[in-house]
Amino acid sequence: MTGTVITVTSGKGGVGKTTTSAAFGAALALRGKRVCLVDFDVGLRNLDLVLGIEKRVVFDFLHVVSGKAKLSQALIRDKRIDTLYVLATSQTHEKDALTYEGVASVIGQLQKEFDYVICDSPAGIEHGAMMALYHADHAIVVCNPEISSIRDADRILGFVSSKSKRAEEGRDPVREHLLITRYDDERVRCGEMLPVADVCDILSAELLGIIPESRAVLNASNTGLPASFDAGTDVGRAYRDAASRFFGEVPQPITVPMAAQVAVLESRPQRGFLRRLFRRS
Amino acid sequence: MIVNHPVRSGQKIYAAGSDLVILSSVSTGAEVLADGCIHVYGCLHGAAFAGVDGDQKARIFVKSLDAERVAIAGLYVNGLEFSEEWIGQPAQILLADGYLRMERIAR
Repeated sequence: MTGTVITVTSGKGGVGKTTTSAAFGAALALRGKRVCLVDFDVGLRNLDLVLGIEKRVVFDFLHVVSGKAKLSQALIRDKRIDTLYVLATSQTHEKDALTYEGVASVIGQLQKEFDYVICDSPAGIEHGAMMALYHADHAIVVCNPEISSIRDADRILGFVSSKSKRAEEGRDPVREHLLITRYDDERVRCGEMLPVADVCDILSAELLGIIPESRAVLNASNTGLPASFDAGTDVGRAYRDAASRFFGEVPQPITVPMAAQVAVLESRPQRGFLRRLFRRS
Repeated sequence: MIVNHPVRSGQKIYAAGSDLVILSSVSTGAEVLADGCIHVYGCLHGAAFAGVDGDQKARIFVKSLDAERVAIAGLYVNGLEFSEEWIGQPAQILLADGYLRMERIAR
């Protein structure tokens, strides 16, 4: 049995890819799946920080890619969730050190050992991002409800459907999921952010979940915990919801105030200010 | 030529010597081109160029009009010039008497 590769990507930076990789991966691991998180952001190592394992990194992804270390030496097991592993990236290597052959070999080995391999993509549409999405079976596109993030998400979805290994080999396309993060219901209501329905409409992709803007995210990364670890927070619930939606279970209605969204939809003018802006930008 | 996936920002699709049928949406920043007619059964947010090799009888049909730019046989109109009442409506665009003309079509 081979593991499923999930790439977390966005095009734009700072929208919550690393937070999502850690939180979503942990949510899968909390359900008993064997999960490995792989940081593709060479030179800007963050995933280990978010998970609070930065001091335990001795060998990294790049050492394994270049054959200087064995995979088993570089894999770091999470101390709280015992089916969650991390393959940290290098802070010192050049970005181009990720080679197609090297990455293919590491992903192949990981697929043998894990149910899910989660690739945390760097921002942008350059080499690192392409390497991160190349092996994807699923792509989780992280997007904030604002126009530049949406355009970049659209662009990266284009790469997912044309530049992945699945596309090159003419197999079934990569499953695309949309995860809206930093969603602020109040700001949507006063028209500063786009409603969920508009984002889904513009991106024509399946909605995996909505993660509310919350202090819990920063608190979690400051303490080195995945944001999904504490089911008592709104963010924790939202990530766990996204995980159950990923498995095709019908979870409770999307955690973020759906009632408010319905109100927004009903009272929505035919063409909002943002929509017009988006069209013209 | 038939395309059954969304055409994303930055992508460009050209149907040489034929019509182009798109069963999904065309995003802002995407371009679709055809030597013949273009049909978009989703929303057209991007740019559409029909009759690229000079066919003045080519037309563009969209289920929901919100284009950045449309052109037929080299004659173009910018989406900014569409009046609000056309936005989001089903429409066809054709060339008549040297001008691009927009007409409503059935929903």
